[in-house]
Amino acid sequence: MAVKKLRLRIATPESVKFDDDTDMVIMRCITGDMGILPNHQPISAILDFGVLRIITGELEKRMAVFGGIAQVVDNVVTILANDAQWPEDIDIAFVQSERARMERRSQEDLDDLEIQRDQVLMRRTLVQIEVSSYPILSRTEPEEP
Amino acid sequence: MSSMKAIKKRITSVNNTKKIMKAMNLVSASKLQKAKTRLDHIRPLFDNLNVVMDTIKKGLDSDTELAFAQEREVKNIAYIVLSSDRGLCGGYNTNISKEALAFIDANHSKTDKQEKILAIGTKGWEYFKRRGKNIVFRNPGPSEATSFADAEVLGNKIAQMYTSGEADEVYIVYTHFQTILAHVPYIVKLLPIRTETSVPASNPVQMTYDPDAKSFMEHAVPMYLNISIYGAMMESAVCELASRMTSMDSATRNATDIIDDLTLEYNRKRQGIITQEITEIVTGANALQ
Repeated sequence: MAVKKLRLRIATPESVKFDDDTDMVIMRCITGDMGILPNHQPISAILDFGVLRIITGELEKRMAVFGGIAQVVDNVVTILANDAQWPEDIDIAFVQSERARMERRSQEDLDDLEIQRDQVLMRRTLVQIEVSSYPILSRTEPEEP
Repeated sequence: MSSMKAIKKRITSVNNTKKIMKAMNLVSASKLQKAKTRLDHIRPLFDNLNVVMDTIKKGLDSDTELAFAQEREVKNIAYIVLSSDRGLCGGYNTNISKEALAFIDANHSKTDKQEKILAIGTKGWEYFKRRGKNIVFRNPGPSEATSFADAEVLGNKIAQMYTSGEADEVYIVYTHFQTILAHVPYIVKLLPIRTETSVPASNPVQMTYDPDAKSFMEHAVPMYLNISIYGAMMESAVCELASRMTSMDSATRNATDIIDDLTLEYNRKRQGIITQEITEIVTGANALQ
């Protein structure tokens, strides 16, 4: 019998980012990480800013997701994100400079709205930096230092 | 006699207009390509979202209180009308404004319900302003450069209007893109989101929610609004460009026809003058013999 697979669809207002079969999806929900394997019960969840891990065979791909909703029904995982980025689309130098700017701004005296906005941007850069550090991982051979 | 000089002048002027229209046609064609790609990208998201919303609606038990699904007594209805900022795009603006006006008038003919129009696009705004309608909000029209953030602004605005009771129903009127030549005005009810509680699904999906149904819906509905609005904006923008492209194309062809006619007239006149001159010379020469 063929091994059951999950169908993963990731759509953002910009484009469809991913539409393929995979073995396991780990997504960052507002209540914590949630791992989805084939034959998962139907579930709808709210996504937080975080790293989405897509595990197919020996490979693990990572993606930065910035909020949205996810639904799992009949082995189809639908992720509708406000915004999502592959590591290769992230301009890491720009993100680092943005982050440094946010850190400098946090010393300044800002009003509540600006602080809120800065915090969102800050979380965004943190996720981007995290994703860029490990774009693709092989799960069989752990790297020996 | 309209002199040859006058005809020449007209030919030049029509020629200049033709050049402008030709340029507009080309510009719209290239913008259309760009906008169409974006529309093709948003459509899957929109379809997926509809599937997700449908599953939720079917699986939801009616006791779950939803902020955006209450059917309450309708006093105020908000209409979002998407039109363009610039003209020269054939019947695009007239069609959508007429459709919206007919719908609004039908809803408000006998009752004391209050209409609130959110005019997105200058042309639609002018249309309703002239007819003395109650316009509560005005923004530039959707274009091929409209970003998701623009849709979010509008989405937040109507969500706030609905929750505060300023509007009890929200409709969006936009032009749906079918082909380059076929654009259909669509009127879609955005709020309250329809919950098909009266028709129980044959086998409702037993859905679990993380963290719970209420917070999930509070998160999903604004997203649904934003994406629906963004989708409608992209559809309208593509229609505007397609409409402009085809109307500029036919205008260019008309200009060519006019130039042909004028050139023919000009040549006839020239021929006439030459013939007359020859006749005069010949008659003069004959008279001398």
